[in-house]
Amino acid sequence: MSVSLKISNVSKVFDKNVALNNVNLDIQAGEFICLLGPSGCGKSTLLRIIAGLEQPSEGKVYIGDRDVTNLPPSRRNFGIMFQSYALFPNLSAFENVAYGLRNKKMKTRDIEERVNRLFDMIKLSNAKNRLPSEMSGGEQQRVALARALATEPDFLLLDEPLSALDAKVRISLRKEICNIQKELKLTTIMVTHDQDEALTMADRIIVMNKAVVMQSGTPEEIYEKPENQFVADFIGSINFIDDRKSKAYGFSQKGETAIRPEKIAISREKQESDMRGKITDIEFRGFYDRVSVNVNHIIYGDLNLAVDVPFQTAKAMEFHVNDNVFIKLPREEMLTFETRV
Amino acid sequence: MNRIKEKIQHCTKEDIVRFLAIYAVAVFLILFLVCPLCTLFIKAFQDKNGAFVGLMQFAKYFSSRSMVYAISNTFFVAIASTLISVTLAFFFSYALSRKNVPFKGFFRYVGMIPIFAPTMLLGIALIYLFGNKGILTALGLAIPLYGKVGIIIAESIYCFPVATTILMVAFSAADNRLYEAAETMGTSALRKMLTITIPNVKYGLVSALFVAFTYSFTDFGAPSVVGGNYNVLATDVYKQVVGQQNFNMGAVVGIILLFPAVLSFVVDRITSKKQSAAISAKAVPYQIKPHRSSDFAATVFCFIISLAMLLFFAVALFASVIKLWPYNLTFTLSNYDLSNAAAGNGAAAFRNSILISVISAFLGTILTFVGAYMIEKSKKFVISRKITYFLSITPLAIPGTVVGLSFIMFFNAPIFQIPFTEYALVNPFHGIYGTIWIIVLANMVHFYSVPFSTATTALKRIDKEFETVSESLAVPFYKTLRRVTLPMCFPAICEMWVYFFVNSLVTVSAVVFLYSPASPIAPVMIVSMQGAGQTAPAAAMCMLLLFINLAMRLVYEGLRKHQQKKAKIKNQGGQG
Repeated sequence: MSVSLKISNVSKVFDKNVALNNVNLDIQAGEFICLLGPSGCGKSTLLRIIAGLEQPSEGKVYIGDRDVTNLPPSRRNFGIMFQSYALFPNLSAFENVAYGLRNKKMKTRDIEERVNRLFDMIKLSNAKNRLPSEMSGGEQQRVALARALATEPDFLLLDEPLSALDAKVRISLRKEICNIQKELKLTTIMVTHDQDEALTMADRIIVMNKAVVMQSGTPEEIYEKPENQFVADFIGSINFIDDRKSKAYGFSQKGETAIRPEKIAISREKQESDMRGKITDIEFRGFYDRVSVNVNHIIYGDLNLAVDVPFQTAKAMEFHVNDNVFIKLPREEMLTFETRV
Repeated sequence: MNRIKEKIQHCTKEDIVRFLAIYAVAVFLILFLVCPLCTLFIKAFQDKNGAFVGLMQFAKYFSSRSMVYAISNTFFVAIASTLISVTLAFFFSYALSRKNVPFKGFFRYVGMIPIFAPTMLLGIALIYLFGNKGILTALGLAIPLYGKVGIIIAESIYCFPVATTILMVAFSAADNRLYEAAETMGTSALRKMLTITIPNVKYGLVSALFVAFTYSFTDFGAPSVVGGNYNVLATDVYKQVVGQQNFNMGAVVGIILLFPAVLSFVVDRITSKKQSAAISAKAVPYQIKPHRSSDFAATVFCFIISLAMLLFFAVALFASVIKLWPYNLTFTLSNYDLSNAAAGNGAAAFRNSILISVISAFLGTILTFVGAYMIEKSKKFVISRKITYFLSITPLAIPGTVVGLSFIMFFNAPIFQIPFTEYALVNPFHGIYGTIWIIVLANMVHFYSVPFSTATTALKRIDKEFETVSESLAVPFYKTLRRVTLPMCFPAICEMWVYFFVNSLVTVSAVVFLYSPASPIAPVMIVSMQGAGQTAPAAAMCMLLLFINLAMRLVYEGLRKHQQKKAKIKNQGGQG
């Protein structure tokens, strides 16, 4: 079973710090939501309010149509996972997963059956009797996932669940969590500060900054059509061109413009409407090179742009610092922000 | 109004359990810590008939020449023993933590022995060594033992273990990177000591100085044995209260005794905060580098200290198995036959002491653990938790003598006259007076803070999300407490239990005011046997208490080692 969630005009004030400022959120049943933002943006507070671990100063929380604002966590029926795994160290993996079921007066046989099924799902059937200290971080986090799912929760809360893991394990576990989430059609809310994680996993990303929601949308929308400078800057890399220069170069009539480094075309030969620039720096980034280009214009002012060039292309073109190159900023790829947020 | 209603709605059954538990602990501390202390304060401003006399009692006290002598005497011996014990402890812990010394474990344990014995034992050993017919006196090493010299030696040994413990912690918190940086700049050993080591341990050093000062300022056991006519406050207050039944004057002395303890408490609070902030989380542990001459000197120093320590206890052991020093040196175990002690029934006293220690340890451990758990692992009741925390660490600032004094004043009164009014309250706790329960309560209050801190530290190490996870799984907190938190805190709980037991068994400063002749206890009996000239049976009783405590400690260490080993084997099995 899966439920929708609704956050309505929620604010939270700690002493005098505003952690959340009038946040509204509608989460569909079965949706995978990522709360993304820099540390201190309020995303963890929002998660804790949904869990019932904190009380909002203002506003309401609904699970389905039920107002649960004053309901304690134990009556909200959710599963939760933490960065620290929070597995009980003195209990075996099996007992950790069975922990919530033992309290429900279930028959021992039923408990065993359900726990075994969960271990099959997380592909750790051979590790049931191990203690958490005898497992790797990735295995522990999978057990924590099974524990969270054991009581058949209505929704799942993930608090930076992958941040403590090695890069490789993190990526494989991303896939695994997503698959299980899709299979169970379980409403899931994940807090993360890692944009790659959010972009690859989420159905919808909620970007937060300074206690407010900056933008809500699919990963593509967030990346391709950021609604403000914060979102554009926070996700991926981007070149900003201030409003005076934008107007001078003819990129926009009003406001600041921006373009992502991989959208800029670069070549040795001049083509129509190209700008001449000089390479000031080349940074090797693995599968691409980040080339810094300086466009010099006495009247309009200098433009310093980062351009991402696939490594093979860059190699073929034999770029060097101080080389003259030609770049093109496709209009359709440029973003315009009329006001500063 | 609406908000309150919402708040109540948000409260679950579990919250009520938590609330009641916090209040149970708070009420205990208010009844048996705050109320007795208040009684003590009130008494100091009253005359014998309970009339308010302002500072008259204080004026009377300070106008009496002998009383003022007692103050200056106490300061003198406390300062001298503090300097001696902390200096020795400084080099001892430096040698053990920063030098290549063999048998470190052995040296450490030997240095800790005084904790396990009543302070009277140190006095008795001193008498056998330096008394009128002492072993070393006979060899020509005569010192004026009875009086300040004896007290200073005994207190120095008594304070040595606690100073060592504090300084070991301070020395262990070192950042090796600082030493490596100094080395690459070619810094001399002395300069490293002055610019890195000393500044690093200065907070620990200050803390050790204050704690040692408080210990020796308020101790009763050693001065009662080797003090002679040299009056100090702790023995003075005993004479005032038990000898002359002058409770009001006793209260005045109690307040004077409280001053250095409260000061030391405040200093300790400040320094421990700074100490923990001084070392960054990234610090690299100190690497001991071999250095022949200084390692040798350190080893010799540790050896001498341990030898002296063992000598003391060997002499006490010797005293307890000799018929009549120095006239009849035949071996005998008759001193251990407690039933024929002239000062009363030794066997009963011994039994009572063990019983009291076991009960104090059980109840004390439960109470402190519940208190620490509720304070550490609850989210609600912020103010109640803060108050309970403050009350929980306060006993650290109350010397045993003051606990005893305030208890006798609180429980002795059949009714409480409320000051400045006509009203009076019947004392519901009067019935406890004269039973072993008053001693149990005194021990629980007196030794409350250290086990409380042990429990808090252990609980802080446990992931705080365990409670969140169980809440999300709708498992009540007490089930998680039983299945996860308690098993994980088991070593700490054992340590708390042993701490309560060991200290309850040997303490004399508080209980000397509280025991009743109907139910005698061992440490008090030692004092009275010693006073009656029965030194050998007194020594035997001291040794018995020491043996029991050491045995208890050994069982605990064995248990802990066993558990560590078990965990290790399991871990290795997991990796294979």
